[in-house]
Amino acid sequence: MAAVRNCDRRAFDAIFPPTSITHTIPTPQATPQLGFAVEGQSFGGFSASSQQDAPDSTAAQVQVKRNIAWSNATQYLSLRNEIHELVEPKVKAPPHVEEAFKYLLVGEGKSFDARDGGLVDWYFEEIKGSFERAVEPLLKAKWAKEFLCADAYDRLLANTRFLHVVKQAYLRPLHEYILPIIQSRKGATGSFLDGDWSSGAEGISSKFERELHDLFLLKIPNGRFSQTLSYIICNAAFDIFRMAGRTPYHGPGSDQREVLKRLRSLLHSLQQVGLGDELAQEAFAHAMSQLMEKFIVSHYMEIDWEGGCSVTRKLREWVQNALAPFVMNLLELIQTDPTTWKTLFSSNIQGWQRTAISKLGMARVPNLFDYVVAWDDSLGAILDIKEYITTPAARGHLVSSFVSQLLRRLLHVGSNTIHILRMYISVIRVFTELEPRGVLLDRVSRPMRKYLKGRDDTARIIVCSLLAEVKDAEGNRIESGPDVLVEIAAEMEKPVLSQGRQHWEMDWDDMNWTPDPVDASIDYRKSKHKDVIGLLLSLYDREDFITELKTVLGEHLLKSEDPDYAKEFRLLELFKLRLGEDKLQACQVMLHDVVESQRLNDLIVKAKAMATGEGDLHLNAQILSSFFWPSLREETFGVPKPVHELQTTFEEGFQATKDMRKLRWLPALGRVEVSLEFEDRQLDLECQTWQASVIYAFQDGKDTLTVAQLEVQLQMDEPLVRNACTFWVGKLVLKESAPDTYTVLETLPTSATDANAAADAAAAAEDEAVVSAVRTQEDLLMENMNVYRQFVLGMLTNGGSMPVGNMHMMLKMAMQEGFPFGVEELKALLGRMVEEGILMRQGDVFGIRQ
Amino acid sequence: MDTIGNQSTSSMAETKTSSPIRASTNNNVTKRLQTELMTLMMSSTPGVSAFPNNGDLLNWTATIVGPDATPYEKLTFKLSFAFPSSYPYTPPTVLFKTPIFHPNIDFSGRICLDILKDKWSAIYNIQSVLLSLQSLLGEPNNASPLNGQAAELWDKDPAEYKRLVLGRHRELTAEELAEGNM
Repeated sequence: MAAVRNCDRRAFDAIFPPTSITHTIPTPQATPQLGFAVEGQSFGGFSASSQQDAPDSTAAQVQVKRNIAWSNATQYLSLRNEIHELVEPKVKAPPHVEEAFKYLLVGEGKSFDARDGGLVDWYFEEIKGSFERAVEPLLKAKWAKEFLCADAYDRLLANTRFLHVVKQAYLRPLHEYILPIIQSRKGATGSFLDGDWSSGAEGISSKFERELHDLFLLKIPNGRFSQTLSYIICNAAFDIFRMAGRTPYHGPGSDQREVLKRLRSLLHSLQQVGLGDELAQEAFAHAMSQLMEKFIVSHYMEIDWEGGCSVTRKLREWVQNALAPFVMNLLELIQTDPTTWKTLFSSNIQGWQRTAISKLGMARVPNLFDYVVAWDDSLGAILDIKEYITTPAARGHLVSSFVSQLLRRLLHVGSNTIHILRMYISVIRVFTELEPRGVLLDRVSRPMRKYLKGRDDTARIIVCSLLAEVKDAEGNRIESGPDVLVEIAAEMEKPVLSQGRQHWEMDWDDMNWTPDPVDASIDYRKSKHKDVIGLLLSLYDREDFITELKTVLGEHLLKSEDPDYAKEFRLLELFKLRLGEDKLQACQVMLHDVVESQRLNDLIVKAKAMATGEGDLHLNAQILSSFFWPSLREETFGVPKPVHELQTTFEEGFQATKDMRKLRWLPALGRVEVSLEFEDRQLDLECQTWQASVIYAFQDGKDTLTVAQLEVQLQMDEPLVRNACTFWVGKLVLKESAPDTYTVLETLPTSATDANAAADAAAAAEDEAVVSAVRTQEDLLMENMNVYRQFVLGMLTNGGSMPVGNMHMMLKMAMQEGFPFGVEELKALLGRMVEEGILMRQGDVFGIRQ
Repeated sequence: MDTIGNQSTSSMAETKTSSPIRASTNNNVTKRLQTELMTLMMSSTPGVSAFPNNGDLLNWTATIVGPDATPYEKLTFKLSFAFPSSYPYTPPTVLFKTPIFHPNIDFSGRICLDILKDKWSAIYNIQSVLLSLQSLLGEPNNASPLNGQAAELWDKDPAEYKRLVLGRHRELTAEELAEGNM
């Protein structure tokens, strides 16, 4: 029982530094303890065989003898309070002290150990006290001060050495006297051993050492110690692996070998004073983690911009061939049991490689946006990330990080639609590379698609780009307009992947079938063939796209100069593949129209020419089926008489061949080649029809005309007249001699200032004069305002009041050409009608005012 | 498994549903009705108007204002039009929704008008039907009445006739209107 209590106490003391209540100071300074004999029991209550025959009457004598021996031994063993005295070797023990040792350790005196723990325990208590008195304040003082990073190594080494010296001093009496005595006795009588130091000299020695180490560990400021150690290891490792960036270790011997040697010696001495093991291992692990991170951001792990290769192989090799041996080399120094650990360690290299790869991925992901921008030079980086996203957590991290990058850097009003589309294409390509199944793409592109849908110029840019000419006949790049995204156009050139197995999910024979990845969203749809164009086209409803396509194609066809319309035919075929043949009927008709017109032209004009002989005017008519074409400019005006005559003859010819079908001229469409002769120059150019008509009005000696005169004479709308006049001013043909009055510039101004002024005006005018053949959406809204009003009135008269959402849906459904506007525009229109007192409004519900 | 057969129309989830009419009914009827609606809207004939019901191009509601100088002066009448899928080769079914007192219209709103029956031709359209109905209000065909009392009173007692017309007429409630809209 006593021994157990003793044990408890010591365990308690190890945690709460003992205040030496139980510890006796050497007896000469205190009253000798005489002890008491409990009635009917011998002293000690411990019946060793050697004491069996001792009569009770001698107990008091034995007690006295033991007390004397105890006094002698403890006096010799007691430790000094001054550190320099402490570490000095003691004088050799005089014979009576050695006697006392023998008596107490292996002689009769041992029998009393049960009561006070024996000499060995007493000595350990003495050491603790001494450590507390002499060493701990010094240790505290050493650690209390701040020190420079550069000094860290020396400090730590000095500290460790100091602890080592202290340890030596403490252990010296043990090794010199106590252990040899026990050893000899043990050799003599094998059966003697019992008590809590029963394992003999080695046991005592190792126990002592362990307890001493625990004491050191307890007294050292753990946090600072491991920080310092980790810093030192880290720095050394940076030096050894030649990592640039951090201030290299400039102590003596920056040579790699030297650094390694120094580090080894430090770790070795740490292990000697018991500061190795867990504390140091922890610091070491921390340092290695830092090393790994540092290595990953170092130039060794730079993205392979040229080769487009992943660096993960390099990283794995580094872990295996450089890091692992290094760690082995050092870690065994701070390991008490190297054998079991080594097997554990070698099986762990793969784990380290995984850690390294995921660290690499973590380092790459925050820059993913930049890699997407730099695609496809950034292939290397993408492949690195690809190795990283093997776990759901990593995939989640990738998605959330990239989406936040997108929101911050791309999806805001500051970036234009072309740019966003270009990014989207890059995102598609990058994520297809990252994960061919497209789950990640699906997840990251949602915000992008949503945002792109909200932009009103997205559809136009896509369609324009699809139709754009990026290469001329020789394959050189040609400049494209502002609404053209070259990437899309280039993508369109690529052959379409076969859409063969569309319902491949239902393909029971597909041996490569795998379930959806766990992080796929609910409405994720698998599709094996998802390319850039396909994804872009799926941004909108097909109908929306086709409306836009018709508009752009119409303009494109009217402008096209290729007599065979080869490119347009090819593109149309491509669209058919993408969007479905039935939807593109209108486009097909449009294309057919222009080709057919060509044929008719040849036919009619040639027949005419045969009849009347060549004139100097050529009319080339395009016959468009109005039903299929998007709404076109319909302004009418008087065309010059010769042209009108040609039109009439053409009309006759057309009606003759086409069985009396009606022909309605759209004079505002089309182009005219004019050649103008002035007194001093001749001008050949191509212009719009109304521009030609206006300039033709100046033909017959009428040098000066006002806008109003032109309007009347040509029955032309004012905006067109003005547009034409500005155009001709821009071409230095007319000049505005007075407000709204234009005069022909028969001779170019000779003076430099006049010429400059004219040129300036010309430049300004030229910008203004650009007009599109197909009307824009705004034009359309204005144009069709009345129609929409009627529809709204009709709807509300017959259907009663209804909310704006319903009305929008109804309009979309009921109108022949569809209702190309959103709810917002409709609301604006309704708002206007409310203001005019035609409608009344209750929240979102509108009705007719009675 | 909603992907089956849907692949060709759209492969992304955010596609808006296109109007169901186009998919479900004969394209020609739709087109014809759209054209008719457009002409009707653009011509803006006074006193008649019609519009498809909510989300359904084959069922319309029409409104006729009683012609001046008739007992129906300034009264509005709602009608329902139901177009068969063979329209315009067969006539639409037209009913008066608003209760009306008229020689050629019975109390459940059925109309006796030759062009809606055997005299129908594909050249008629909603507008012409509406205009015929409007004129029918002022000039009933008393030779073949559905409502004998009305036919009798038309010539005999215009004042009593007018009283009965007004007595029978009432504005449809919102619910009744909505019923037609279903």
